[in-house]
Amino acid sequence: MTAETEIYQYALPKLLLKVIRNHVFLVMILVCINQNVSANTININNKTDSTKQTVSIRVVAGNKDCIFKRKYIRYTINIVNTYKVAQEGKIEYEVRNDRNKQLLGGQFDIHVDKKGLLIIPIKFKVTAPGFYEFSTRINVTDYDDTIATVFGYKPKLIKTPLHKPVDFDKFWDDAKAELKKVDPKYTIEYSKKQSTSTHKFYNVEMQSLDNVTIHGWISIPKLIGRFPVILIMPGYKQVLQPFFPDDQAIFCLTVRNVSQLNKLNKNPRMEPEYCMVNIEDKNNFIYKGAYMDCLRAVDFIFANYKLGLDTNRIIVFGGSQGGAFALVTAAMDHRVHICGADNPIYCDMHNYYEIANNKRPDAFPIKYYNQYLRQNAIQKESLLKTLDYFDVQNFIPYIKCPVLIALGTLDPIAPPACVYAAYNKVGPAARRKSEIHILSNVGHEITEEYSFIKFLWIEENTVEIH
Amino acid sequence: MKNGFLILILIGVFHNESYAGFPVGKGRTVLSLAYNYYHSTKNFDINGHIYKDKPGDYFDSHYFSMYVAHGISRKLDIYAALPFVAEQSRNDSIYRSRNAFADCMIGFSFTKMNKSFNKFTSFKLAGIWPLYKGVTPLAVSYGATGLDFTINFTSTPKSMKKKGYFLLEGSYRHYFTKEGPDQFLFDIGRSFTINHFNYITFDVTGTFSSSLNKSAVVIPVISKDFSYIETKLTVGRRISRILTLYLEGFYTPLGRNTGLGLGGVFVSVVKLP
Repeated sequence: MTAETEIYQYALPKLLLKVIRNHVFLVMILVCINQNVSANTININNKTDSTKQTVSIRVVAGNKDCIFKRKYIRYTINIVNTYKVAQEGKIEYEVRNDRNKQLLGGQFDIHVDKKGLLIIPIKFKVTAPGFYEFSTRINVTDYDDTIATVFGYKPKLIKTPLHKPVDFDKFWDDAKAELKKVDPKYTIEYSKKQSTSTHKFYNVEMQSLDNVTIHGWISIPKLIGRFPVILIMPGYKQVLQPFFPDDQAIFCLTVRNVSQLNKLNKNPRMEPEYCMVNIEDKNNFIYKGAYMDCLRAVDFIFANYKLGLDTNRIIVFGGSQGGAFALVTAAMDHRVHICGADNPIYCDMHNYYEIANNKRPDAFPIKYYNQYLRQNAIQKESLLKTLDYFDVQNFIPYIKCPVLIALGTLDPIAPPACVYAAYNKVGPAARRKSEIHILSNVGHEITEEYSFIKFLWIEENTVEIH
Repeated sequence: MKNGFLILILIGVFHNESYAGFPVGKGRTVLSLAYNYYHSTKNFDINGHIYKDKPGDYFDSHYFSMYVAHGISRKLDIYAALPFVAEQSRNDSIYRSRNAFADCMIGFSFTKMNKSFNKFTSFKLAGIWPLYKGVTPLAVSYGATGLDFTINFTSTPKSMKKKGYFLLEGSYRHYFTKEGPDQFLFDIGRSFTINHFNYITFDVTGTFSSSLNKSAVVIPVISKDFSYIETKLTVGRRISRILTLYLEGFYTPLGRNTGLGLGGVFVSVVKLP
């Protein structure tokens, strides 16, 4: 694998430098126009003294969203020097795959004129579809830093095997049958305190698998008519504060927690970490109950539609762990109308294990898995044997409704390759109306822009009833 | 009595029904029914001075409009307006009345949004077709086809996010007759959200119409060379998931060669589904 590089050097007029000092971004726009690339950038601005002299470096991907579909991957490294002295040094770059293996690298000696701009276009090839890290290390007279960005190469072609246990379907059919036997005992309490002049607010409770009581809250506009329901699945140990949209009812679910299982003697090791409770026992692994809690929430909506809930428009959404819950719920209950998952975790767990172990073994949840393996002297296969029943990608082919997924290219908890591999397993019928959004240079979060897109997507996909 | 006010009424109704500058949304339909009442016993002369009609003279208009907009895509809407006018006037003791469909309008609106989805710029192009013949016994409009091009900028800056939006709109309208007219219309509006479902909007709108025909024409022919500034106050209340009602009052403080009157508009907007 080789990289082809060219170096250009420009001196900047004084007036432009003045602008640069205050608006480095403007310079990047000019550079981007010049290079005909998208402004997908990272900026490190090193202000070293009170005179605001800086060396700024930006790494600009040649394609929108850092996703490449053609032969070459193109980046441009732009260095702006506003010091009154020239900068001497070198730039190193390297490309690593998501197993942290270096695929290519190189370095240049560079000279940036005083008040100068250096532009270094780089192009190279990768062969396998996936996500890669492109990092740049700069070391010059008054500045040194490292910038890492992630790009995707033909992510639609990422194919990873399903590690689906042979009794996967039976396992979940049995779980659903078990849930059905549990009397839900719905309780709905109108909260005058939390209701507003425009919205009704209810605290709700219901019984789920193993007779665990789960909770939630619902806000419904005080208007005539039934409202589409957004069922919001909780993130890891997350409790969402009430909010009150104008066009939808919100049902925010809180799934079972560890202390509930402790009280029921369902956590024999008294494991404090949620994701580790009974991890070697698929029948008592905490997520079996949690997944069933999500299905029970859908049951609740149907049983209590008279509150003003439109059962033809049930929208299941969640971020992180909530994203996993949302996808699993849509797969197991086809009454769900549309489904959205931001940075869903627990996707493609075998692949995840390799990626996380090689890149960020300190990140959630791999750090707990590794800790468990060390403490119990067992192999990872023991854990994966259980996790295969809960791997989100094993559920995804069962989804029939439109899906909206977001992933962050720098996300260590829901690595982009894992999320995309899971998305690629959405069946062709559902996929026609599904979308995946790649949020470049974003970690385990979403952008403000994407949150608006999500809102529009919900609006657009709740027009038709199916 | 001179009456440029029919155009004035038309603009008022279109503004309310066009959802400010916000796109309708892919696959969605907005249906609006409006009733507009206008009464005038005074006029602005060609120099902008107010004069009273002769005792007993007046002009009354009942204007009904149906407006439909459908979201073809996230950014592209098609819209149409079908107005019906019932008007009466007494001028120099001669009573006239006319009931007729007025100018129908069909157009497209393309909206460009910024990345934060709080600034919307719409470009609208519409054709105008008269659904009536002649200007007697009373003029409904110019009896000519026309073209309308509008740019609308609607913004909900972060500081205003929970408090409504700001609207700026400019239109150019041309009627295909020898005398035109060519019209420039504007609207500056500020909407306040009192709470989730109650709104108040203030608007200042204006029309500047120019034509080779400079005459101050009396009924039954409508004037073509006129201008006015109008102020509006609109109160909106969302009733159900799909229905919102608006009540609007307007007054014309400044004008030239046009009518001076008071009016009210009642608009119901249904967003489907």
